Amino acid sequence: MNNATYNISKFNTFETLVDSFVASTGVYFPKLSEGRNSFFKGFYNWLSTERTPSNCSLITPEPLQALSLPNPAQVMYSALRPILNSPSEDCIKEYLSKYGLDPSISTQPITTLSGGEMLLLNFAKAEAQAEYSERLIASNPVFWLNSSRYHHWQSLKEFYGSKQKSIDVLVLNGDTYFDNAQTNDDFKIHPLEFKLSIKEPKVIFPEIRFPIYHAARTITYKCHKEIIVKSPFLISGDNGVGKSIFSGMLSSIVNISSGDLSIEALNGETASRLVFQEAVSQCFAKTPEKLINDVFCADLERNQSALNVFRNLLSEFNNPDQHQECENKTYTLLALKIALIAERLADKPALLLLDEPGWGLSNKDAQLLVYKVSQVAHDLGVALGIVSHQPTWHKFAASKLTLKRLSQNEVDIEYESF
Amino acid sequence: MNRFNFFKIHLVKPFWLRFIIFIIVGLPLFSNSPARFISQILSKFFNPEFALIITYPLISFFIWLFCLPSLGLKKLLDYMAAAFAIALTTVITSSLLQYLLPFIFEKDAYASSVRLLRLYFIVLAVFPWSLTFINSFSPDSIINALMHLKKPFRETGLHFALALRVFQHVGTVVGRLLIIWKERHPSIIVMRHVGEIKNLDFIWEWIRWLACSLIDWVYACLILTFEPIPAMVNEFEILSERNKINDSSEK
Repeated sequence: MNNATYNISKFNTFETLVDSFVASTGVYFPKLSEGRNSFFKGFYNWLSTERTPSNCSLITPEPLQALSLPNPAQVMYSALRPILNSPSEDCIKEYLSKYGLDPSISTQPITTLSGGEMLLLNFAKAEAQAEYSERLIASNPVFWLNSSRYHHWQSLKEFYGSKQKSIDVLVLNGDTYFDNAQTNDDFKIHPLEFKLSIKEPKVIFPEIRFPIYHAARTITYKCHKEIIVKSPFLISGDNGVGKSIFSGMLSSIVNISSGDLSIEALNGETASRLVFQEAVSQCFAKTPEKLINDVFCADLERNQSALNVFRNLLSEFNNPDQHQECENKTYTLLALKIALIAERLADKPALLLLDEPGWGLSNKDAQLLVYKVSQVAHDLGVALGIVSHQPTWHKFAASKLTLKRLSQNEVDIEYESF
Repeated sequence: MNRFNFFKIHLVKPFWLRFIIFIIVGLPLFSNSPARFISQILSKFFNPEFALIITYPLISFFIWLFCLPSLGLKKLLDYMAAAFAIALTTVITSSLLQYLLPFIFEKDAYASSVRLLRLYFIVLAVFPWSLTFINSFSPDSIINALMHLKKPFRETGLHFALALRVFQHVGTVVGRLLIIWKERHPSIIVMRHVGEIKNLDFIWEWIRWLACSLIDWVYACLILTFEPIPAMVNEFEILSERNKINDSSEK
């Protein structure tokens, strides 16, 4: 008889989801949005608590947190080692391919993988661990995936079912896969136009020689055009196609080795700012207001402007659910995201890019956040770009840039206006 | 096969031999005896004081040469850039303190200068040596090598592997934070937003900002390095438990 269970628990906020994850696994995850003091207090509690090993396969709230070793090959080797005496390179590559990962990433540093690739690696690892782990506890297991990759989760689920192992899923309310509740909110945003010039930009990631060799990699965006883009716009595409790299190029974090990529707003501004997908590490262990005060320590005018944007945006989330679940709402992931956005908006760039703005937020909060941010941004003459594969953002977008893989090193960019 | 592979320390097998070579090469960084021995040999050819002074750069040079085949020129230069910044900061701070608090330090100016010189070249060598050392061992191969051992060696080894991984993780954290920092402050060592302030006010605000930023970096590195430890411990525990089960089934 199959005793395996499949439970789905839904949460309103990221904080309650993490609390539940910690309670069910015994694996402590610090709340970085609460600042450094809270972190050390929490960590002391973890250090001083006796706990029994959970022996569960885990997909953590952030996919990176469960990947303890430096590259996919080592992650898979250590996961397979207890069941196979000496897992071969081919065997590891087979596991990676099964979950849609290019075997060439096996020696790539984990931190350079995209969110979706990290999640798929977690799937491959969870399958390898299925023989000896008691159950699978998965937090947001499809959030980072493009809809064309949802079947990998289905495969993993079936694999655990066939081994008679239970699965516990923890998701935020409104998750596109587990909770396909449609909201009827009407989001009307007056579009703002800016000029985007793409001249076949090429990025070269140099070879890594130490400690493990990984060959050099290039991505060429095979597109040569000037477009008048309507904001808010969506940057979409498959996992690992290079969406984050494209937004990195736009905001001058990723160096372009040849070709060009530039923007020009109607107000003449050409700079672009980016809010990264993993919002928590961007706070440098500071509370949201402290973050703003420190960034603008020498510019009181911008400091005040950022604080005003922060407080105004935060006041929009005055719902009773949040009050019940979080005692101090200014220390939540949502508040932290708002602080990061406010900090960038006070700079009045030509373009503000939000990489996966819905991560760690319920669908309702994520939509309200992006709606309000686009209103504030457009009022300031700042265009807004959303980097995501989540279908939920289509209703906000006035236009869309779709990145399509032509070959391993070439990507095409298609523009469509709605 | 690359003809330089023979000189690449991180490819030496077994891992304990690699460890021993690292300790022997790094010995002058922790003990005065090798430097004294080398300076005695050099003093046959040069003035003894000069021999002592050139011993330290020679040792640093030898350690750089030792790390070069594994790291490659680009990575070694990256590490050395950071090492030079740390060494200069340390030596300048030390000499300022010697000037401001003379009663704490030794009276002999020449001896203290030689001590600072030694400190400078040791910092220059310690940085590339320790980073090469930490990254030359892979925690999973240590875990696998330890699988055949019995308690308490295996438990100790697992703790060592975990500690090693945590040290390696610092490098990853610094890389991640640097990208975030570059987005916020593109010129890295000057704040993005300076408003209307000028001249002396700017210098004062910049020093204040720099000091606060250093504290932020220390906390952020510490916290983000600590962050994955619980998940790492969990994973290492699962492997350890699995090994125990394998052991008992073999019996």
